[in-house]
Amino acid sequence: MKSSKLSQACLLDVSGELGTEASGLLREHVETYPDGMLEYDQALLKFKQLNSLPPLQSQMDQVSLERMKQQVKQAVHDAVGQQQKAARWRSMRRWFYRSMSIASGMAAAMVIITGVYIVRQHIQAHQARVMDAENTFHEMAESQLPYRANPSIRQIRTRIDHFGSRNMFDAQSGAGSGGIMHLFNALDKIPVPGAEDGLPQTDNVQ
Amino acid sequence: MDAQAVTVLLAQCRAGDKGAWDALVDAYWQRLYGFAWQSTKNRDLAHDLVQETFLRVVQKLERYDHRDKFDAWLFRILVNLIRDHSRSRVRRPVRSTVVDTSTGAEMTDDMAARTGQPSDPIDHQEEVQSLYAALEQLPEIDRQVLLLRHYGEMPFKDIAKMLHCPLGTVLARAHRALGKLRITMEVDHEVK
Repeated sequence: MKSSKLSQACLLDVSGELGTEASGLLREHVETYPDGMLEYDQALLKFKQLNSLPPLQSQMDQVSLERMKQQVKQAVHDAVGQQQKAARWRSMRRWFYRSMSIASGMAAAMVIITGVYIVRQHIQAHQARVMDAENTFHEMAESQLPYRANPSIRQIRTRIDHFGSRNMFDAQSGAGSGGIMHLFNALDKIPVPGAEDGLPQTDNVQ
Repeated sequence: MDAQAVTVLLAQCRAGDKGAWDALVDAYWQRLYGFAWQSTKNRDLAHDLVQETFLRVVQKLERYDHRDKFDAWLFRILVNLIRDHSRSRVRRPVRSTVVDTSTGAEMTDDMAARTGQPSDPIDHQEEVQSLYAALEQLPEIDRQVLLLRHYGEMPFKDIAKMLHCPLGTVLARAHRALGKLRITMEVDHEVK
């Protein structure tokens, strides 16, 4: 065994840190070799010298030691208290932020849903207005057509409708010629606008 | 305190049990204080550093890795604090004061030592004083190993773990330091 290794093993053994088996082997070795025994004794002596340093209790009175220990305990209690307080605050803050994010998420969802609903309502209202406007326009346009209020034209129109529906198939057989004559007579009775204004008469009726 | 008991105690501490914290202080305070006092040679400073060590434990316990030994972790915090303090002391020397009870005058720990009046009621055996003087002459790292072993009551294996170096290195340092201590003591005896 190397000298340095031996001295280290001796130191471990005298300090009580060597295992039982290793300690047995070491003792066997040092008993075999006189140099080894010398090394072991040296280590034992050195370690005893270190252990001759007085313990703390013999250097300070127990009251002072206890007082200092209590101060340390108090400081630790304060620190633990502060840490717990900080942890509670962190937890509350986390809970608050979580609730706020849930609430804001819900609010955002409600805003989106409401927005979509309002837009749809608006579009539907707009479409209804457009349709109403179109209907009104058609009605107005129809009512504003020329000769619309003229009873003679209305009569002609009725007759044409009547003629068309009744004689559509009879016309080929000549059965509707009387009806056509009636129609022509009715057309002749229509006052032509512009005739009074001096405008040239149109022969579109014929 | 065995590893299982420490694990249970630390779990209680994590849960915020102040009684468990008291038990932890009871278990380790004296070892930490003894080491800090011998390292700094200043009673008040040692007290502050040990208190700071426990406060760091309160802060960092959540991040403590159970694979590491708690003793080693605790002493590593203290050793780092002592090292940081000695670095800052190089920049800005700070001396603690003690009151001379006979005159009422304040004096530093060093002055008290020179005048023969120690700052604390320690054993006045000459041999002990010589031993302390011999310890002071050791290199910082060697002295640290011996103090951790004696006042920290740490096994060499844990010291090695704490200092992040092989067990052989720690044993070699201890062996060398103890050798120097012995030589210094012998020379001292011869001189006297």
